[in-house]
Parts: sequence; structure tokens; C-alpha cells
Amino acid sequence: MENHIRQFMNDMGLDSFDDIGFLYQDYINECDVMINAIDANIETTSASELEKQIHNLKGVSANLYVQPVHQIAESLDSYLKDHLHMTITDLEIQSLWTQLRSSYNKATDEIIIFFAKHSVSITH
Amino acid sequence: MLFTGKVVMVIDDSYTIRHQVKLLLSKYDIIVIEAYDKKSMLNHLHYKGRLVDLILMDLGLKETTGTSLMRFLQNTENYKHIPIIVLTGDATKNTVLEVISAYKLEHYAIKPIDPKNLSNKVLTVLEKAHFSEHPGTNDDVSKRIKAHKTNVSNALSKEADDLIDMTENYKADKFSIGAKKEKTTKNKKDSSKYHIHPENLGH
Repeated sequence: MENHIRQFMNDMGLDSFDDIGFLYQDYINECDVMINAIDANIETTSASELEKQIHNLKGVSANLYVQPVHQIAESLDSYLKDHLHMTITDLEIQSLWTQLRSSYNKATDEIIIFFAKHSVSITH
Repeated sequence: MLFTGKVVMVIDDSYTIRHQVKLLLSKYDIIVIEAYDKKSMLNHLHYKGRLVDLILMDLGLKETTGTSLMRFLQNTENYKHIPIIVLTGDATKNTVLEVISAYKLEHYAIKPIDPKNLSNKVLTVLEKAHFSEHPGTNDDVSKRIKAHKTNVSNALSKEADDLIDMTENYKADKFSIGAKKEKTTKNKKDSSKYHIHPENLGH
């Protein structure tokens, strides 16, 4: 994630680790809520409802250059759009969802470590 | 600065994206007001007694669609002249053409946000609006631009003097100068359809 964050800072034209760190804190806060909501309702959520939530997660990850999460979210979003009649018990959906959660956890750990090196405290 | 004090409203469901836009435009001393639906939009269309100068509108809002908000604004006498830049992840040709022609938009920005592209579009719209409101201020702006150039030139002269001093000292072997360049790699987009293997992730 370090390279992605540096590229993001460069493209935003900002060099303040504080400012960018607080933005990534917002990202983590917002995505935590989305992911926890999906997890809590996964048994009863329809594919179309899940697709809307994954679409949001995909969008905000792309905007902040969290590429690993964006890539899987894009795959899952695409699969769900093509299989809106499926239920969450579908194995492919479950597999992609598991990968997404794992990738998100890894990405956020790396984000936290990066900003900690620059004395900006971010929490999960 | 030409854009100091200009007010831009960003309407998006995601507070992270609203925060990102706020940070992006803060470099130009632009004030960013946030909204996420029709009610919050109406509550904040006026800032310190005057209308916002520009609206960045996400089409994919949860509660109300961006297109219905645009329709409302364009059908309301007081608001129809506020320029709008649409911000959306839907880049299909039909959607773009439909929205641009229906709402007579001048700019359309695709998500994910390209910071430089969005900044340019915002500044272009604000600049155009400024000069159409103040047709006689070109001379003022020219003077300010000249003054800015002089300041930049002075700052560069000082930097050049400092560099000359450093070079002289280096020659005299008083201290060593080290430089390290960091490479940043452009992120590559993985276009595989559904299956992502962990080892292929860009961690």
C-alpha cells in the first residue's frame, strides 16, 4: 500500500501526512461500517442488495487508490451484476467475499503501519 | 487568488469522497460545502448570503438520484444558473450523452476521481463564471498574475543563490550532498473477470 498512498498524495498535490492520514481514517471508518453491515446480514441479503453495497465499497476504494480491495470488489460487483438471481449461498460469491474481507484487512493494516511511520495515528 | 472564497458544493453519499474533494480543492482556497441528499443540498445552497458557485453532483445517490436533483435545480428559477459538474462511475456512452444533453452540462467527471482532471474542470468552470460575472476585471487579474510571477521569480532567485552557496561549499569539501530518488510505480489494473488469486493482488 505504501506506493499506492504515495502516488495518491502526489496526484492530490498534497504532502501533509496528517491531512491524508485523516482521509484514510475516514475511508477505514466508512468501509468498516459497510463490511460489518454486509457480514451481519449476509444470510438474508439478496444479491442485488449486496451488489449495491459492494459497488459503494469498490468506488471509495478506487478513489483512495486502495487497489487490492478495488480489484476484488470489482470482480465481485461484476459477478453479482451477472447473477442477480443468485443467493449469497452461491460458492463463487462466498469465495469472493472472503477474499475481499481478507484483502481489506491486509490493506488497512498496511495503511495504519504506513501512517504510523509518519507519526499519524490511524485506528481500525 | 482568483479562486479564493469561491464556494463549491459536493453532493455525494460517501463522506470519504466528500472529504477527498474538500482536501483537493483546499489548495486553491476554495470553500467546499458538503451535502448528501435533497434536504442537505437545500439547506446549504446559500453560503454567507450568496449562492454556491458550483455543484459537484454524484449521480448515484442512495435516497434521491442525482438526475432528479439536477432536474429540480434546473427547474428552479433561483438555482438554474448554478453550474454543475456531474461525478459518476457510470461511463457508458449512452448515459454520458443522455445526461449531458438533458441537463446542458459542460463537464462530466468519471469516477474513480482523477484528482488533476477534476481540479482542472472545477477551476475552468469557476474561472469562466468569474469572468462572465466580472467582464472588466481582466486588467486586475493580469496585474495579479504579474505580481505572482514576480514572487515566484524572487523565490526561485533565492533558491538559486542557496544552491550556488551549497555548490561552493561542496567544492570546498565542507559537507557532502546526498540525494536519493524514490521511484513510484504506476498501479496496473487487473482486468481478470471474476477470479483473483491472492498472489496477484497489488499489496
